[in-house]
Amino acid sequence: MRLSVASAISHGRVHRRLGLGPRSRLDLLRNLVTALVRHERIEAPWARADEMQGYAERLIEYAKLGDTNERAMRMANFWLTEKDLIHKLFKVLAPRFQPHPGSYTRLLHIPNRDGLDRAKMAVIELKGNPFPPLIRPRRDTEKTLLNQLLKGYREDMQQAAALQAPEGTPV
Amino acid sequence: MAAACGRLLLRSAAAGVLGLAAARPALSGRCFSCSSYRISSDGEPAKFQPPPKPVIIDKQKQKGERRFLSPEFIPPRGRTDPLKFYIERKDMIQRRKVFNIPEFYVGSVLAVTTADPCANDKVNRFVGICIQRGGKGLGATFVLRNVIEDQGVEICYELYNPRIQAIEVLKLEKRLDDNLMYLRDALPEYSTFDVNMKPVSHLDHEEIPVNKLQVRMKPKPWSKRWERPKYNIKGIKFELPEKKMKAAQKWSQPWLEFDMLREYDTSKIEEKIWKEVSEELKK
Amino acid sequence: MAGWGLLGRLGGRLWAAAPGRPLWAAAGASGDRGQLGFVVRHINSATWWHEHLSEENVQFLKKVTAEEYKAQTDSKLCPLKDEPWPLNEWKPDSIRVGVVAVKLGMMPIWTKSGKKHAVTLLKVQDCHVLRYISKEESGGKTSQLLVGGKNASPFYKSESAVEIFKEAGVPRKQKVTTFNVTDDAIIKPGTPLYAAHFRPGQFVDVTAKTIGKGFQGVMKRWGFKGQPASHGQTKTHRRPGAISTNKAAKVYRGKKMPGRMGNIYRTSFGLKVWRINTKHDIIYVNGSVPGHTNCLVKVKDSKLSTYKDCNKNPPFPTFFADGDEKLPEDLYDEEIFQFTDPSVTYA
Repeated sequence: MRLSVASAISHGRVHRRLGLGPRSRLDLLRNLVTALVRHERIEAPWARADEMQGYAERLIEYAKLGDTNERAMRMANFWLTEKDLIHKLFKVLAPRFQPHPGSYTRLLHIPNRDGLDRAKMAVIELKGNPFPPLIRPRRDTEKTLLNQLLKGYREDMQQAAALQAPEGTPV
Repeated sequence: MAAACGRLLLRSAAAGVLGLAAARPALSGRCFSCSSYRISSDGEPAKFQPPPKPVIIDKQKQKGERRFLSPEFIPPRGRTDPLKFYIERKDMIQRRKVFNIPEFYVGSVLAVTTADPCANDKVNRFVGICIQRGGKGLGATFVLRNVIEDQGVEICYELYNPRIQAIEVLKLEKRLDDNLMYLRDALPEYSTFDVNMKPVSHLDHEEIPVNKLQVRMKPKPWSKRWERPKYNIKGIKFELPEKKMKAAQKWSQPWLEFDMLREYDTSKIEEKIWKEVSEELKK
Repeated sequence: MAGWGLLGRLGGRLWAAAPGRPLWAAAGASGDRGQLGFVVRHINSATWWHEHLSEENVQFLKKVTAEEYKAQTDSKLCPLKDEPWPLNEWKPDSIRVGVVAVKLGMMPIWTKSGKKHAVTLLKVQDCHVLRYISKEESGGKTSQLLVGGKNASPFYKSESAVEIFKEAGVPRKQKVTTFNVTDDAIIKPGTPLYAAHFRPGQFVDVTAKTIGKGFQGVMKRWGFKGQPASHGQTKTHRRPGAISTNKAAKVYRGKKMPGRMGNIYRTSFGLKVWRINTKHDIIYVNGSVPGHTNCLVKVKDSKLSTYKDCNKNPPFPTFFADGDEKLPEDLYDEEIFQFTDPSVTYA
């Protein structure tokens, strides 16, 4: 559970209230997790996607324990409403993320919804998905004046440090 | 006092020899028996001259399987700076070096001696079953319950209160639940303990025994509706009608088990703190 | 609600993801055509740094800043050494500077008589004097010292806002407060302040922002009694009741009404200092202190005249770490039970 400053007086209720109650909230997130595992990249309201991200990552952590683990299987059974995805979770996603310690999903902002509510929207995807990458703001190249100046300074510092024992921190 | 100390010494030393040598499964990984470590390590060379004993001690040190960490060492979940818990831990360890706080669980029968300015001999001894352990850090508490002259008595002791003179474990065992507050609503014989009870030796048991006693309750109303799934009580023999037990299930929240962000895995923290505490106590 | 999500992410997310990125990109198809027809933004990728600096340069700047901060904070330099300001003797009417501390939480302590007290742990973290404002400059009755506590990143503030820290030669601080001091108690800017500025047995005032409770009714906010739950009440259980009289024909100013509760500065006066940890710079202050855990509080000598006798002869104008005074790790009030002692007994 993520904890916030507000949690000090919220008596430990430190999640968003979605749906019609605690059960409905999990059901709602369950459908989102299922959709994410099926499609690997989905659009959702930002708050829901953000809430779901934690659960999706924990589910993959569990899947990495292997399909022989009873608890992992129970979790997968609960969180994936479409049961054919259990196979995908253990056989496709778990091996894919096995070498990675965490951060299996990527949550990105997209423009607000066009409907009446103008809801803040997000796209969430599993890393290593087969889709073309999302268009993201480009970084300036290495060749800009600022980058080059900083690079020169960095190299000077490295040379100076190599020449003499490091003493006195640079400003 | 001296007699109690001597007995404690003997017991803990023996428990150290026999109990520590055996590998303990994770089942009983809750309370760190610092006392037995400390006393056996610095008390024994003076007491036992023959060489075999130190050899045995070496063995247990090598194994180091008995990982008991008292529950108040585990910090609660939250955003508090870990430094705060470290500072508290230092004081707790300091107190444990001077004062023997034995390993005990909810369900164990304890005798606690406290300094009491109002008592005749300025000392007060109370025997009872530990029904709850609460609090983290220096403010950790435990509640003892007994029935004295047909009157239920509960005393909440602070574990690190300097007024406590001695904590003596008369019977080291666990019960089916981590909280025995339901003994208030149980028949009084289940929380009645003899004030002059003799300590039951815990020599030949390597595991902490679990007492699978199921208590019978007084007729309703109870202080809490213990039949509800929220409490998940195993130590009560419910004699309610089938219909009522079924109705109580209406409050079950089966989805809670799957809420993964609720999980608080303390195993790594426990490991780290155990290492720190045991190293400090050995000094 | 939106705020904390962003806050929590700011740290690890992007940097943790950065090393893995080439791999993920390679795994995806190399086609440029996005599935979605707009530019997506990561919450962390929208800063000036990410747009204009290369990855190595960002790392480099972060490293350099961290090193510089460490040097500035660790040096424990006392500027008095290089170009001293005159040190004065303590007089009963002099007012010292205070410190900015972080509230860590609470714990119990016991006295030698076996009595329990709750104490709040306040950590004096990277606390520096930033600027001296003379009486004429401030336009007030006394001169002032600006003190800052707890280092913060300089990159989220404008150049002008961090100027004050640069002048003092210290890292940017999360909190800056003003202390009114007498002219004999002024300290040169750049001097670090420590927990040993206070001594066990003295009394302090602690000021902080209380926890915000939001918009609350009169029962919670002002402790009104409300109305009975039953006996024929219709829609009247927690309401304030009458707010004025017929004759007054107006509502008096300052009438207690529903409204925003908390999130205002409050001071608890006359809290006893039980113990000082000089190694970790922790002040153990009696009782509770306004504000939530980890909030920044302002601690100063108690202004209550009752405690004047207890606050005599403090380290003046402050405690200097590189001074002649060598302190043990823990300073205790004489009444405190120390855990190295045996249990308390009543003979």
